[in-house]
Amino acid sequence: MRILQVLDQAFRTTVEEQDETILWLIQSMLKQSKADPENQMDLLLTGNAVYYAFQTTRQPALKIGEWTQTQPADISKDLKNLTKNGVGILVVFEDLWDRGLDKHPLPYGIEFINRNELPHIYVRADQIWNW
Amino acid sequence: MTNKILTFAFMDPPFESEQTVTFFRLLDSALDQGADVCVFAYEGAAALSFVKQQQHGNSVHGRDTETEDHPLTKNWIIALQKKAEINKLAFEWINCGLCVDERGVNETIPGCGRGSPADFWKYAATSFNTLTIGTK
Repeated sequence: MRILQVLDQAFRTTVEEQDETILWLIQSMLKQSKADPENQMDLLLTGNAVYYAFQTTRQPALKIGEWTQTQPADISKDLKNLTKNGVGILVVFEDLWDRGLDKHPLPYGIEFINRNELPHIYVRADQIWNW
Repeated sequence: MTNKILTFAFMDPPFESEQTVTFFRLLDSALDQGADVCVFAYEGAAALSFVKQQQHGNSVHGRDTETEDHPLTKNWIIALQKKAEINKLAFEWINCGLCVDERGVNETIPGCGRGSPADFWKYAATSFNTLTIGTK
């Protein structure tokens, strides 16, 4: 089974959950996915989620009154864990361009894809999960 | 002929989002079409099956609790469970356990279980297709 995870929403739950909830979900399914070599998961970052490709530090810790967050989300670490586990990560170039991010070099393991190439990766997936 | 299985993953809580009603209508339609249905309730959706949801009256409407008959998502799930049973279809519901803990909604109506993303993967692997509806 090949799953294409399409992540468009950005910074949803990152403060409260201390992670990106869909990146967490994907990591939680790696064991099942990797149990069968026929399985493959790909992650497509679109819309505001393209910002994730360039996160290099943990998210800023929230402070409310005397309460201070001690374990803010680390999106960069999550993405590295996904690539290390064989999840292909693609970022839509035009969505980067819209946000002035197209000149930034992408981290290792993350690749550009143009919008006109999207049908190819959609067709090769057995299921497409839009988040 | 075996029924097609459709898996749904949903993230929105009861009452706050228009997507919640749409999600339940999709489940209802899936049963109408003779599909077996599997649901993975993620994040806020873990509260959809919370057993302590309570109806209330509404003074603005001028109606007491009984007359107002306020919709509750747990009752919609019960209705779908009954519909599936009548039509000899499967209707399975798994709540993300950690999401349930965060929200204190551990007590669910019968027929809704506690699980993890691993269960979601298993559902999807046996399904004709999967629809994910994320919070917007």
